[in-house]
Amino acid sequence: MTRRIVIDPVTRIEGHAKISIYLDDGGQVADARFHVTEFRGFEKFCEGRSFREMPTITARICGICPVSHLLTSAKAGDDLLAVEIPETAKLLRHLMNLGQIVQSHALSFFHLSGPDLFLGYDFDPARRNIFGLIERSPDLARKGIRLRKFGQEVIETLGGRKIHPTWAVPGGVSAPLSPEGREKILRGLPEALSIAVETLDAFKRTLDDRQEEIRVFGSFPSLFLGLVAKDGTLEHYDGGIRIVDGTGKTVADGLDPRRYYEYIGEAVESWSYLKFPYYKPYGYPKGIYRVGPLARLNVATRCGTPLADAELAEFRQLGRGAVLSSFHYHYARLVEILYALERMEEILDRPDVTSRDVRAFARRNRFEGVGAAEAPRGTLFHRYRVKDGGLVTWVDMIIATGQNNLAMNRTVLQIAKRFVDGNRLTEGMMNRVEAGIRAYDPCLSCSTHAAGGPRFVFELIGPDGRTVDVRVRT
Amino acid sequence: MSAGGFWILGFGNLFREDDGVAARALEGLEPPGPDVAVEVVPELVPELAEELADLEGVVFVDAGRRGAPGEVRCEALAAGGASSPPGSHALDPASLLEYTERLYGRRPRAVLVTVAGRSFGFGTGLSEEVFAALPRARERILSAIEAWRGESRRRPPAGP
Repeated sequence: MTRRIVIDPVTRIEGHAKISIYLDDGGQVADARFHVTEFRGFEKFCEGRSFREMPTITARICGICPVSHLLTSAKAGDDLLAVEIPETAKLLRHLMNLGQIVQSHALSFFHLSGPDLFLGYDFDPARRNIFGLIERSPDLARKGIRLRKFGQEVIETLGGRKIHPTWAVPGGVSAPLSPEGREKILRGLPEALSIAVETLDAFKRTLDDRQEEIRVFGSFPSLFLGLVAKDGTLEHYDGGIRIVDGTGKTVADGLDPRRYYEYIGEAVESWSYLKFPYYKPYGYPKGIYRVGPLARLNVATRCGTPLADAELAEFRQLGRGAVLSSFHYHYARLVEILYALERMEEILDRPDVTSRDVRAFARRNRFEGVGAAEAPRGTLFHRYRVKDGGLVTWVDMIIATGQNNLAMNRTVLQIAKRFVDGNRLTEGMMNRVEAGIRAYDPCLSCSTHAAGGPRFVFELIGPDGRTVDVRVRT
Repeated sequence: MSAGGFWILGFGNLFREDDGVAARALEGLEPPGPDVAVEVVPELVPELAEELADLEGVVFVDAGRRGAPGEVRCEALAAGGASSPPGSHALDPASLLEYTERLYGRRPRAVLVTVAGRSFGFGTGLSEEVFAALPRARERILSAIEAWRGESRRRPPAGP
């Protein structure tokens, strides 16, 4: 006889999900599932709109990673126009993407996972949140704010608004970067770099005490997928897709991201609204792969900036070939923040960064366009079909978080098997299961486009459907 | 924004029908003075705390989910009113104010003006009742600012 534990909703993530844990007769974990309980409908909403509006529209899928959709959608528009955008436009789009990496990773690390990482999984749940973190370490909380604010200011300086800037358009960007804007960003870099370096050093010092999490928070072999430049350098804006396996061996390289549908399939399960992307040549579910900071550091040959490369060399010592534990998404995020800040400085030092040649103009030249870029959480794909006047007839989006769906399910099962004893339920056990999901920094609102606030119910249900136990989070 | 000034801060998603009411209410709203800024954001995010800490007062504007569609409410946000600690990047006004006070040691005076919505699906228009309520919402927003400015003017200046 199987019993089911339900954690609904999962807390301190973006969007709504629940975790079901199935126990056997002995009260031990037999299986676990990560359910997404929101309904996806944004693609249908986009049909009938002009492809030129799509960056603005899709940026509103989510308030936390609008830039990713803005840029990816603009790239799909570039493809529909069949234009090569000016070099300066590429630099500026890349710069904005890096600003978003910084602000999004800062939020994930300091605000969402920070309470677990710095207060502990068994800390009083009423205070294991950002308020508790402020009480314990106000300076750390303020650093997170400063870093996030810097990232947002990069976005605002370029796009004119902090959130949902409409500045990236098919063909390029709508406004150049002024010399004053360039100076403003450069002035903010030293403080941001200092915070990034200090935080990374402080986090690395705690790793010895985290061996158990490292061992069971999603530590399993899988494929890893991400964009890299032609020479294998870490990439967030352009490049080709590289896939490596758990030993670090390259499985595929130089894949055209515009033809993602040829090598990425999507499976559907009856118990979740979120689809299950997989690498087609390996089939489902063997084609499980991960995207995002951990994957990007696994697929890249180098970061290409000095401080980040030094950190990458140290990071690589955590695994043989590829770093496997999803707990190390936290570490990878910090390395990426450092990389992003260094890369920003390189871009801003280029003389053409303030050029006014930022847009190519054309009419629709293709009926299908695809854009791809690295969002903070992983590779994002937008694919549009349009009819003669440029009105969208069909949209497909593969969201970064969705590509980690299989991996998140395996992570939940791994953690649950180690920590959950159905005969003795503790809040700390359940929080560890949730923390495994939080390591991926999922954006379920992006993946499923829902609105509204979370409920806090944790329920143990018997196989006959009767509630055995209820825990309420307030 | 200037330190000690006021902020009219609307939030909501323009593509979720009535959730976009704040943006529509504040569209073209002239700030009633150089010490008042008007801004619309999709969500309240943690880094807004740094700006809030320096302000005299803030009027949050949002769609409401309680009450008859079109009903305009103005609720004072007192200290200790946070419904729950923020568990996401998107905060509610009370949590953001609490966050501000805990991080920076002070918080501005605050009210929340809401217009109850009817529909929150995918779409860009407002329900009829919500659209009709826009002038009343603007009136409440401006009244709150004017009341605070009146109090500031009547306050005796700090002296030796």
